[in-house]
Amino acid sequence: MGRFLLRRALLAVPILWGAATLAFLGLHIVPGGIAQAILGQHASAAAIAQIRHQLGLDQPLYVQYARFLMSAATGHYGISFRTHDSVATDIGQALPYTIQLSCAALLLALVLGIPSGAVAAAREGSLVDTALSSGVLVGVSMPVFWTGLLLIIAGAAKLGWFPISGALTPGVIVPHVTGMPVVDAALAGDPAALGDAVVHLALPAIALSLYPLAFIAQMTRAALVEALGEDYVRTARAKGLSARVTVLHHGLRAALIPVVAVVGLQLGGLLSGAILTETVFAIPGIGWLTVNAILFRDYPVVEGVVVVTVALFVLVNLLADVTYAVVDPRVRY
Amino acid sequence: MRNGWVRRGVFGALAAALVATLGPWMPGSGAAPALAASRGASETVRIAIATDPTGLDPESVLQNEAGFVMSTIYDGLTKYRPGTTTVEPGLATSWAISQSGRRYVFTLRRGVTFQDGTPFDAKAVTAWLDRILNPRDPHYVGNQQGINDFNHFTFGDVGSYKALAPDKVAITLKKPNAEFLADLAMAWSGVTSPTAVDRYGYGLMTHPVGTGPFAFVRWARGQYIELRANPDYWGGAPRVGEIIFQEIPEASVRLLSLEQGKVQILGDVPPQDVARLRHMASVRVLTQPGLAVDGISLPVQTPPFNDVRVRRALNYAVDKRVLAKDLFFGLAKPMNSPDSTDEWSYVAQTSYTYDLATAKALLREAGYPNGFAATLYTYTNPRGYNPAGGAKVAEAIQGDLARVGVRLTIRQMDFAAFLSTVRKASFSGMASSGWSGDNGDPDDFMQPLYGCTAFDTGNSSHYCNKQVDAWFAEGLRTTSEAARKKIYAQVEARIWRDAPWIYLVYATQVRAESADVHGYLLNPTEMFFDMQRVSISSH
Repeated sequence: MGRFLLRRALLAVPILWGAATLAFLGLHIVPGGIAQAILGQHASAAAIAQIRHQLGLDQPLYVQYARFLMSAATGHYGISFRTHDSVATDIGQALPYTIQLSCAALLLALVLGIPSGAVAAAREGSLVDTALSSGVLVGVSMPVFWTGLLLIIAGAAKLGWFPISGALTPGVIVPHVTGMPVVDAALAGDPAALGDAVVHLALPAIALSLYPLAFIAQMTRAALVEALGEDYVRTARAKGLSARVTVLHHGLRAALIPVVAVVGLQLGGLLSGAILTETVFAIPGIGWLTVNAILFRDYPVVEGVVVVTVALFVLVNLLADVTYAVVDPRVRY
Repeated sequence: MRNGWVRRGVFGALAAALVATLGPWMPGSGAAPALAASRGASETVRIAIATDPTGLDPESVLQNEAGFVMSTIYDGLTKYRPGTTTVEPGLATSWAISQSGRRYVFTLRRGVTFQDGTPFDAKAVTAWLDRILNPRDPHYVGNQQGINDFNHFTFGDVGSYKALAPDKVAITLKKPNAEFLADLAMAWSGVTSPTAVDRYGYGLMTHPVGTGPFAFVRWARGQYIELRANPDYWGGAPRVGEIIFQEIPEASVRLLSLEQGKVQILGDVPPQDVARLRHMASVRVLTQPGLAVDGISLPVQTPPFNDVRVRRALNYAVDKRVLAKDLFFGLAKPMNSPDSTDEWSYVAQTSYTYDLATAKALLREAGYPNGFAATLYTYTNPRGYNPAGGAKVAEAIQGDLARVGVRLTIRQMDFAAFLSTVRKASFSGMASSGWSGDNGDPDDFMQPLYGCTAFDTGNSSHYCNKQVDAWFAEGLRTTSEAARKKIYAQVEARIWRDAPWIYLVYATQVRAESADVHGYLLNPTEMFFDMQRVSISSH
């Protein structure tokens, strides 16, 4: 396991380098450029030249690239052109919102997806199975911004149970510890703020959870249907074990192994889904930061976000692999 | 400079379609119950904005949303009369201009304090000017990296400045600049507290302190900015206790928030939403002509566009009324002068009314009976002066011009790339052009588009008329508004006749407010000036 982890960690280096290089090239080869984007329509050529010089954008591309790699290696991406804060600060402020949202969505997806899949598999071919499978189809087919808007209309506008947008009601302050409003409000022992943070998180988390929920339910059902046909399950039944014990203890345990792999992959999907979800629900997470940075040609932030996001992907996949080895005794690294 | 709202193409359209489709199901049109909720918080005005401000230091940022917020926190030496761009006394109660038009002596308003208690006086004004103009000042704004500002535009002509008395400051310009007073009224000319500058340095971006009607409380990045009423405001105590600028990126969600009474004013309203807003009993749609023009620049130094008959023909060949109605949802008016209808200098010219026969006759006369081929460069995104987006308007023009045999190839690109392309001296194509005025002065509105020295800013037609340039110079030298009016009347007539653009439309500024908001006035510069006048009725 130790060698495996080391190998994976080393492998992450070229992956991060490749992603960072692609981000750098993608931003620098498109015409237009940051100087024009910063200064806008009224800028003179002299002003543009001056700002290009200030930012080192008038240097040869390889010099800029070398400088970029140096800063990327040390984690210093410089100052955001848009907010004038350090990129690390901007990412540090945004990331907790996305982690909170993704974790909440994943939790919902697991809590609802696995039982749904298990029920559908246990009653394969029944009306319940058909209904759940149809629900899964709807879940994987709906674009997240669409479900987001539907949820806002239904849950916020029609029923009035949830706020329309944002992460906290203006004026509700929670002391900054983790940057995740729900966690910070809980740590502060402030039930009112906690309630406010939770109701703000509910709709975006539901919207973002639908796709992984559907996928996990589908995977659970398929794996469990297969497991329930295995000899050892038949043996368990022959021993006179109840259907509940057979399905939960014998079938589901084995069926969850491929589901674990799927969960790892879904985390990546959650991060990309966060871009749209955060835009619809006005949550200042990594997706929101990325959209703003791209629209503003905020190179340092885009580059920083790409590297951090890829690093997260790598880490999450590594965790998924490790978990795989833990839950499946046949897997050894 | 100003980006206007940013929408996201298909995503935005689909979202709007969803809200429109489900409209009848929503507790929409008669949203009285929803609004009742907001009345409980009648002391707070919530304003929805599309994007996060980039900073709140007036001399270090140049972004519309930042201006929205700063116009409630800061005051300038001059200000705009509510709802207009007519300049009137602000922090300066009066001024005397020397015969040469170069020396301004401002008499400062007495008894004014900044929101942090610092007195506003001549010392504060010179400290503020030091920060903008003196590279040796420890807080010199020019030492910040990668900032966008209007300092060169506003203060570039300032040669010297001096405190003459606690309530008198003299500013001497290197050359006369008649728009200086209008420049000082802009949101980018707010006077900053010297104490706050000493305390926060460049951190003033996130700790703004001015003399305005509302004082900064907190900024939750990407969420909201909270401002509290300044009860000692020299212009009268604000009628609400608080303003919150709330960031809501998605247009449909902003609309829902207004409908539900969660916000009271929408800072950005896409034209396609206006019809729906007009049907809501609890909402008022506010419109104003605005300082915005949209057109197509024609390369006047390149055949066949170097023939004024061709340029006029193209003006006659485009149906601006249909364009205004269909692409701008009726929120635009065909142009009839290169100047904005909202400028004090505006003089209506004889319209190039849609007339295919005249267009064909002019083309025939110019030697192009069968038309010609040309390339039209455009951008993909919507702009404040063109909410339909450059590409859509370009396609409409392509269709219209095809009727007179002019075959257009459209090349569209993202806005920054577009600007880089059309602002080269070698550029010789047709280009989508537009302008949002900054200060309400005709020079700002016309010289950047038609001046001989403006090829690298807004003059992509490369129009250069020595007489017009002489008038521009004379307009800046002349301080009397009446005399300037006469000068700009000549400028407008000449440029209109020379037709370096296909003149399209004046875009209308649109905002919406809930019906219980009172006293809110649009300003042509789009900023939130005079917010102390705004109140919310309680029932």
